[in-house]
Amino acid sequence: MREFSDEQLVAMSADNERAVEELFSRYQSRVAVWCFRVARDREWAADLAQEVFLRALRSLPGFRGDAKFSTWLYTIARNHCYNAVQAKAIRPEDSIEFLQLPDTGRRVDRELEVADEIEQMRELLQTHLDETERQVMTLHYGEEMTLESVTSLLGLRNASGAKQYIVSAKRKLRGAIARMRARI
Amino acid sequence: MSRDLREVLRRGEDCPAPEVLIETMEHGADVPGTDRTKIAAHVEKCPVCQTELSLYRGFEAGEVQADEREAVDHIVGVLRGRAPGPARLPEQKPSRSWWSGVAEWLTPGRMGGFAVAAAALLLTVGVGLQWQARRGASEPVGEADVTRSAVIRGVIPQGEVAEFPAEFRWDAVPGAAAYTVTLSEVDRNVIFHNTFTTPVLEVPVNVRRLVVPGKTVLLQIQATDREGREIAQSGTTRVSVRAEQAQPK
Repeated sequence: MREFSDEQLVAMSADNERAVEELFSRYQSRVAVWCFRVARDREWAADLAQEVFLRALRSLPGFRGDAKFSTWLYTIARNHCYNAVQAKAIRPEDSIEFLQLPDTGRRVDRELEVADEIEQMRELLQTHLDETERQVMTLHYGEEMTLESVTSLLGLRNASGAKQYIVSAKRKLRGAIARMRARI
Repeated sequence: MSRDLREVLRRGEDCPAPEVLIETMEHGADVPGTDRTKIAAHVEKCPVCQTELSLYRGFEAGEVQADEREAVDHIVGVLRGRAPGPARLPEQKPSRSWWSGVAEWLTPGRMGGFAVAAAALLLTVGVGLQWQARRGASEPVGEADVTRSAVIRGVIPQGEVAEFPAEFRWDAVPGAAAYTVTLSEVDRNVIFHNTFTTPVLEVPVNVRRLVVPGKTVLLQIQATDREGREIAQSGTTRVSVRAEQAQPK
């Protein structure tokens, strides 16, 4: 079975048990790592990993090979773990943070205004933060991951992990906004 | 102007679904119904999508850090070993597909720890499980069938539900390469819209939170082929959460 690609194994999976075994065993470690990094608790991670494979097993007949198997399985693992974390109502550990940009006086309609503001703020992040800072901020605030999970998912090796990047990102953003205010 | 960071850094309506993003940017695929150039331009300035791609690369690399090794070995051990014996699995009728038997058995009400563990058993090497052939079940049908079946069927759940579903499923459409799903309120205010390559919608928790008990949500699905041509539609499926039930947490 090892000679077959993932997609060939999927095609064979309808009537070949060993194809499914080979396919899923190729990804056991990857799913285990992913679940552990999100959950940071090996028992919870083990439950999550089983549920991921269970979902994959249930959905496999509908997989038509339009995406790579790794993409498909990653999406299942990602959605399942994120939903599990969010259902546990884990929220960013510090208070809700607001970005306040100087008012440019532009007004269109409300919906466009919101979209425009969000785009400007994303641009600010893109311009002033390094890649790791952006990733940390996105996972912590956007995906509501704990700092511990963010540290683990991104493989951060520094002593204070994601927290340090949050601190530096906020400092940079405050500085950038202050400079924008000074220019207006 | 002031924005909550969570609002700025949450997946936006303009962000492609993760599978579309990954297929386009990592595997160079042309996903029907999407514009590669537009996606690439979006990624350039979207920290959410950049982060998604980075995480996928980490998943794909599968590298285990030294301090993760013990936990990962344990989890893999659980995946391979923690399971009851095959005798406790649901009885299969010889004429039924193995997959459909498992899927039917795993209804939400029976998704307890045992069910999960038992199902995990099905995945592991060396399990003595009765295997029922499923020949023909997933074979694509001819073009004539596609033409006849322009309606997406089997959308579940629908109607009145105790809580807003975490997942919608529908029958796969032969020849479909992508499904575009829209959830909207009765006044057509869209609360979710995205494209997927499989006939499953896992509803994000933040979308589920938007659904007020007693209010009806409309689900519409459009199936497209590899060239992006529409080949089937679901019509409008209505789902509402019973008013007396609490919203999902």
